[in-house]
Amino acid sequence: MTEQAKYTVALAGNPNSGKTTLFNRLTKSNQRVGNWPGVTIEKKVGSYAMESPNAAGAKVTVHVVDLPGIYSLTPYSEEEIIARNFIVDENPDLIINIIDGTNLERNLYLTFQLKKLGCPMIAALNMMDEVEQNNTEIDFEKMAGMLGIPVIPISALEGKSLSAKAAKLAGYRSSKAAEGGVERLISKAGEILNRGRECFDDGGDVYTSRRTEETEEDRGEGVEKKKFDPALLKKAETIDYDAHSAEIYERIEKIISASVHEGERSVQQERTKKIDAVLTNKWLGLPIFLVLMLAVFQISFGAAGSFFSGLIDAGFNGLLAGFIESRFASAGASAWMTGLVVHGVIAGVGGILVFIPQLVLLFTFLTLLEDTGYMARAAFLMDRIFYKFGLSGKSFIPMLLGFGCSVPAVMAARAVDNEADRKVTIFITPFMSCGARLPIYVLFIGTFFAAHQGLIMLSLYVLGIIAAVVSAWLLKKTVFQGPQCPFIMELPPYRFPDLYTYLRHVWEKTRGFIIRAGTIIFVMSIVIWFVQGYDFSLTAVDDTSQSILGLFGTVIAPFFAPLGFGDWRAAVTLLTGFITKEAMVSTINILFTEAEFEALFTLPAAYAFTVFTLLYLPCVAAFSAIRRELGSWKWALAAAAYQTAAAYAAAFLVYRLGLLLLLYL
Amino acid sequence: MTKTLNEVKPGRTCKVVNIGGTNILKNRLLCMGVTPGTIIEVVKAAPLGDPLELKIRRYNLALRKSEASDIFIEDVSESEGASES
Repeated sequence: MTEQAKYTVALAGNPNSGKTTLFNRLTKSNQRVGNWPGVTIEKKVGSYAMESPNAAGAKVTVHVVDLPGIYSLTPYSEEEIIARNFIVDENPDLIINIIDGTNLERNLYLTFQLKKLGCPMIAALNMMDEVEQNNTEIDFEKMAGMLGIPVIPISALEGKSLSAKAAKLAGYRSSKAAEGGVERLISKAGEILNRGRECFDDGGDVYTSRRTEETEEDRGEGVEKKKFDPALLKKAETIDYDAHSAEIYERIEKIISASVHEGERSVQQERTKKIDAVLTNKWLGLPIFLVLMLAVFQISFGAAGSFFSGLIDAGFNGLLAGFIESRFASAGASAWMTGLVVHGVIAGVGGILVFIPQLVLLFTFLTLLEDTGYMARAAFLMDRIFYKFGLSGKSFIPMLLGFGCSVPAVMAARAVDNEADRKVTIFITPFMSCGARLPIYVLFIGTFFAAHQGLIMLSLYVLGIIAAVVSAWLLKKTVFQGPQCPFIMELPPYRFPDLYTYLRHVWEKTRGFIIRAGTIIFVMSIVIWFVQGYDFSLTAVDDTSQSILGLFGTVIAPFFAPLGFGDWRAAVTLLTGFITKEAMVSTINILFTEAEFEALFTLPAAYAFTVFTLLYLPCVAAFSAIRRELGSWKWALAAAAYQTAAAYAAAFLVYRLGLLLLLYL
Repeated sequence: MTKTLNEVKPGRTCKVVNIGGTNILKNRLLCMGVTPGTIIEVVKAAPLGDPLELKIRRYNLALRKSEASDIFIEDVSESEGASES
């Protein structure tokens, strides 16, 4: 981009106020999604071009930063700190405060706190279609006067786009007051930006609060324009904002009573109440939730997901691999070259690609549940259970997803707002037995426990859940100590999500998996291919026992002797389980004959081996997701070490108890 | 005798008198609009008995009973509560 005048606009507002939809409308496809430094909270930055007032035809770039959705600037979680520090550090040229027009009281609280930070500001009253549907009348001029900032009614869904058309189909009505609202918002923003911030610093403008407001009412703590030290989160306990909050609400009530004439009824609230009469019903709520989750699971990981995965597998790993292999052969490429490309790169990348249809389906359903407001109800329904072992209902979805695949499960832990709870959730989610572990259970149970297949299988799933629960309790008591976090959660009105925003959410999650997990899996596949096929003198070997992997297996095998399976082949099988759990079955098929396999494991050892498989470190894809979400190698390695230690302890216990049992039977 | 919010039966309405508990809880509640004098309707309890769903300042808030026990309230007659909302 050429060097030209540019401005920074921060978008701030409550969760569920339509902030992301407005952000998408302002910036269209000019967006970058990343993380705020040091935390796993999403940071979205976009830009749009604005006519320059000085030179006709010249464009000025306006950078738009989407701040995390927050209710206040009082330090409660990372989000508030990020938002406040961004405004103080970067000193944006303008804050656009998006406000849910159907919920003015609570939304205006943030407006008051933002104003204290002294940046030029515009309030965008969103959801005007719903406001008008309720026959609520708002005097925007009066409200603007009392707030001391411009107030512009908008409806972020309005427009001519496909997504606006979809919104109309979903029952959205256009609003009179908000007609062309987003355009007016942009032009008002341009007007303020072009006047420059100097005019605000002079204190002469009614649209800035810097001079007038601060002297008048800057009582209470936490409102002055200063940065938050992240350590403040821990000290938040010692600060009392009592008078400050009550006073702001009093002022808000005054403004609302002067400028708003509430309608008789609230269509959204009535609709939400009717839906919740079923979805959080005393008797129906939990069954509906479980059926819904089962359906999401069945479709994503069952027939539909497997069908598309199978197509990719056949196309990529079958056709493409075969084609390249034959081409290499006719071109006379060396064996190692063919091996690297076909068995290393293509097999590795293909291994990631086959997961994508399942993940896309999963994200499609979960994002829908999230964007409509149902996920908050899920947390509401499940909280009682999780409260018992120190977590909250928000940990339920990640743990449930763990039964499908640990990768999206670990990513889903972002919904857990408390940092310690989020880490604990990431630590324990891989204990939920993922779908990829099923083939190895089937092999072992079919061979050794043919008479009790269902029972043994169930016992493994239950054992995983027990391990997760016990670990959660243990981790909360030791490493992630701290007071139980309060559970204060908004149950937002049910709304149809904006199509564009919704599809973007699905795409961003999928993309996150492909790029970040993909690179690690890609590299690891090549490494594993190499250590499996070569020895330390870097010559290709046919016998796996002579390979680097085989030798390593021999070295660590004695470590597993107390668990009943101290054979090098069992150790190598576990090592390949780090690539994917499915790979364990093929490793066993290569290394063992059937008779050898049956002879090697006693019954307790066979069960101990499946228990170890259930709990020990997850596959490389899950590990890379854990590393990314925990934000450090140190924590990721700690998680892997913890999981492996738990696996060792459980397998040891199971094996020894099994031996005892055999003595008395 | 003062009552706390967790003692209020679903469907009933009450008025906040005072908030106790830790400052972190108190500050959060205040930010979310649970200030003294605010009218709260207890909508329902979750199927397993906890948390509670409340209606306050025209939106719905979920809160555990343990947190609700730090909110001191006084009863409001049905009619008064209805006129407020």
